[in-house]
Amino acid sequence: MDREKKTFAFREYLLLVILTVLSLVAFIGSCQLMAKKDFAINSSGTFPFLMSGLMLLCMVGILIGTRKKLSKDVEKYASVGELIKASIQEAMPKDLLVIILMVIAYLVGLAYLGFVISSVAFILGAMFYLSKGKQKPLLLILSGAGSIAVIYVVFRIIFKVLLP
Amino acid sequence: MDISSILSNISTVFLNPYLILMLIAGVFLGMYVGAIPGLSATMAVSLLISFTYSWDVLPALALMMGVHVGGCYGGSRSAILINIPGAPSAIATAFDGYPLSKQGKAAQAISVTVVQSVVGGLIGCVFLTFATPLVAKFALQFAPRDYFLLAGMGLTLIASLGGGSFSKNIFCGALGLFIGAIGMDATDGMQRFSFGVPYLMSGINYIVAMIGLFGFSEVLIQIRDIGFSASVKQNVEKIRPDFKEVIKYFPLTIQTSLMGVFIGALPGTGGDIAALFAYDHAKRVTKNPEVPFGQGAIEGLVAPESANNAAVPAAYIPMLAFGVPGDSYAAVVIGALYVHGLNPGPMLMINNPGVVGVIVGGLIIANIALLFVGMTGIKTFAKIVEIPRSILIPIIMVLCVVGSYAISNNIVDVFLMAGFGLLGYFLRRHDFPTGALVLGIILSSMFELNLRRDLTLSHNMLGTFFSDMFHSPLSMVLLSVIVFMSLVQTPWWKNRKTKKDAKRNV
Repeated sequence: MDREKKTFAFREYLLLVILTVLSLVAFIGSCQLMAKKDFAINSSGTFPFLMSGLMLLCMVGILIGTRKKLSKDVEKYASVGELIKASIQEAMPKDLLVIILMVIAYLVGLAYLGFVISSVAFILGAMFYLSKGKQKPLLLILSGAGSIAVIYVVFRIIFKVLLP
Repeated sequence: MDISSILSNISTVFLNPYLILMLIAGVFLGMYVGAIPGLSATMAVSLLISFTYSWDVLPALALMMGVHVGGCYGGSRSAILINIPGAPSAIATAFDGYPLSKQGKAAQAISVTVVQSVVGGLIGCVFLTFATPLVAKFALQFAPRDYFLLAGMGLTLIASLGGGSFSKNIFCGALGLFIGAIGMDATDGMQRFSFGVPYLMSGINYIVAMIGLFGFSEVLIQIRDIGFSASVKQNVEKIRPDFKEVIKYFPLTIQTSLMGVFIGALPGTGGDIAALFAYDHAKRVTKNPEVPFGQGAIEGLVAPESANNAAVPAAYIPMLAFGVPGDSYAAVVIGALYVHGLNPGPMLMINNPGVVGVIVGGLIIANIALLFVGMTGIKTFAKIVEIPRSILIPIIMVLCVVGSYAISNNIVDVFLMAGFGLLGYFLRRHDFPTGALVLGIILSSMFELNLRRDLTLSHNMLGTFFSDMFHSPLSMVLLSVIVFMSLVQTPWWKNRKTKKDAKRNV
């Protein structure tokens, strides 16, 4: 059995717990909003109250169903620590983590270096990393720089769209 | 607005070369985007909004209509050639399309899909033209309560027909509705969940959410699977439409196109569901196929392709009549209309008949254009499908950044888009439908506004609010649909059905 299947229930359970907590926070916030208007039926808190309540209800239902499968996942690993480690590796593989870090650096770089420099740096970095040496460097440089040039010309020069 | 008014507005589109050019360009673009596995027409149109928001509304809409028609067809090409459906609506096409390709009959399969897509699309356009004014006239009789129930029905339908877990689907719809309520309350000006952050006070931009949930999350999933995706080289000769085949399978085309129209017009459904239903229908009604289903049956291509393209125009019927989108693509088009200061719904047909004309006429022209566009560029297509993911993914990421920034020139939007992308990645990995989430964000203001209007009309009395529902036949029908669709998803109903089926088999 592959890691995807072996850790699925545990990862799902973690996601559900996070979503349940968020739903609960939203529900409490909605109750506070309703309290500001003395719990009037027709207030700005009514709609968020109903929606967050529905979210919470759905989450509880799904959580109960997933909990039963959880114990089977735990049995497949020697310890809970190992299961957590395998789950993190499955949810966020190295390639994805590296690209997400690159995206964060790119978004921060946009504010300081401007669109062209940060975009060229990001696109080339991401292309070289993802191709893992399987593509010719010249092809990657031409594709990366060329696509930024096309985006700049089409968006900024032809359609006058402001770029970051 | 009556049918003659729609027809006259359609004719203006036929006489406008600029709009026709935009439509053809859209079909080209949609076909190639739809053909690349992982890239969807919905993702393309969410990026297009930021690209075209400074344009006039008519050419922008024309481009979007073209992309919708081209994108729906484009998915079938990769399904036939490499057994990877370019779009969910082409899943059923792969069942018989790929076996035909393996037999060296890819050209025949592509020819059948083009012609059937066009025929199905045009049948859908006929219904869009003639049914929309009637439905819109009916919609004018809707009370706020009915709009509120209609939005609820749309979400329940997504949850029931969308596949997967009912609770997960409902959760996503409710989360979308909640996100749509963030910011200043339009009724009493109170701030909701903005935590004093100035950016959040005006609410979350739904275009930003769409780009993140449809576009950015898709590339994150592609990165995860980058090691498993390999490009496949194909040799395809010239293709020509075979009109004898069209006549031969015409009865099936009509049946499945009508099926596509009906399913496509239901809020929250779409071409993917229509195609799977139609494929199943074709299997049941074709007693002696020349080639068995799953091994290259032409009926297996005719049914899904005519149905999914018939569902495209049908998705605009509820959008134009009620302001409720038929599928996720129509939901994004609603977003585009809002960006241009237009409100979809029955009043759009009265106040902006030109817009309705472009949507209806545009879909007709786009389908006609597809007949020619779909027969060309096979070699170019093969090359585009072969573009390595390592090159394509970073380019799409930069486009997502540009697209989300362009809406209001705010860098916070870009961070928010990336956040929605990450949320979409985790949700999709665990079968939470992001389409329902986007639909919720879009429907949120309509849902809440009508709920509160109805509460006001009921003098804020819950008893009156509920009893009024049982005094209006229309409200009762809508409420019954919601209750029934929810009921059939309960474990009790499912167990009952399983027991019944087991008894019947014995």
